[in-house]
Amino acid sequence: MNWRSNPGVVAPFLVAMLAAISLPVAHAAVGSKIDPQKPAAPIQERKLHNPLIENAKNADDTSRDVVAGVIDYDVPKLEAAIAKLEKRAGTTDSKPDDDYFLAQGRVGLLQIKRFYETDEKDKMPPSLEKIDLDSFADATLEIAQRYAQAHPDHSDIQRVIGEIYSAKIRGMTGGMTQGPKAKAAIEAALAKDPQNGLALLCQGRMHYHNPSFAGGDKNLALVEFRKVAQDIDDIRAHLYMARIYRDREMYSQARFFAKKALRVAPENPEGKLLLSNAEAAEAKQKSEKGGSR
Amino acid sequence: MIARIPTSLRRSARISVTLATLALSGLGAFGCASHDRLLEDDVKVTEEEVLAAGSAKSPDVTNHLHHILDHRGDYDTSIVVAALVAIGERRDTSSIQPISRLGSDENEEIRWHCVLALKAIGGPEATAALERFADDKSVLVRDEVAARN
Repeated sequence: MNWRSNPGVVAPFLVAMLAAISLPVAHAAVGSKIDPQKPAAPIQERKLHNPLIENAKNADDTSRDVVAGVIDYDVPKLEAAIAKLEKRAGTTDSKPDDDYFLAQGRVGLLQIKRFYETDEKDKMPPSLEKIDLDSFADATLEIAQRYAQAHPDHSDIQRVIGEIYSAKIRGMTGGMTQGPKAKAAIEAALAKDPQNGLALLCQGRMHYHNPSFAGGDKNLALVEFRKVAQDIDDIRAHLYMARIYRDREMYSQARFFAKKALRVAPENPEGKLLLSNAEAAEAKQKSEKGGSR
Repeated sequence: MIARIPTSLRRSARISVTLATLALSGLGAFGCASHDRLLEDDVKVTEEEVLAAGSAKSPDVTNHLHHILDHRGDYDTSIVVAALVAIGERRDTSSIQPISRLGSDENEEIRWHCVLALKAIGGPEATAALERFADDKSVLVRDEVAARN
């Protein structure tokens, strides 16, 4: 057996080499200061909080509209809030945390676009179709990194940076180039604040989406999402729980978490889609087993 | 000796071994869960193993599902939920009491699945037990009680 006749043999080594090269680079890129001597407490022992909601409480209406738009997938509201933040940037009207909310709002748009691309292509809002992923994500990254430089002690901006890198991932190659950067940023956020529920959610997303050779572990993702769902009632944690249970054909659990998501944001289109999927599949499963609920 | 075997034959053998390994690991990973750990009341039992018990023929399985409900604190929430799903599938009226005892559980997900299990069991006794959940503090639980299907 040699690598010319069996090219598949060398693939794991290539992946390992790429990871070995890119991880330290990514850590350096986000200024990660992870102390390996101080591991975070086990997930179950942490009491999580939601820094985005907490920061929004001290912000103005425009910033709060960003957060609401992201949660509801309300694209017009989100775009209007982003436009206001961009308009007041550099003026006397700007607020100290504008770039944090701006970066959050813009990456939120990319995540909503991803949902429509994957699940509801026909219903994609036209303004999202026009967004060019790479240039929009790069501009968002600049905003976030500018904020991170100006606010090195901010507990949540590295999480936002991690989400931007994650949003740039498309396919295996994207995973190999952007994945380690996203991972490093999320780890930096968790090192700074192990109780950051949104950063734990991002870690769960990596465990959910990554292939197993790159650290993917759907069972671990489920534990992380459940903890986030329980502690901070975050809509994305509920949506991921609904997805995992749908994928495992455990439809009553999927329906429960879709309902939990809709309790947070009743008009969220992903929640509505997952609920109708779960209801239909659950009914079909019951009729196949010859029962009725 | 091995060198004398034609290359094409060796390649075929290698492919066959690979496919067999993949098939065996696939069987373990997808849907062929046994419920041995359930029968041993092992707290490390998985969701899949508990759910597999839903359609198991042995009546003894129901007692082990009740054990999970009665020792709720020893098991992860996901396992208790899976036990309630399996109990709902078995439709055994002996499960009504153990389900009812979870009516005051702190966890909304568990109480919601209690409602589902009672509805699946059906009959006057289960309907009476369902009444306990009609005033639940969670709107999701109350809605599920009120929903006909």
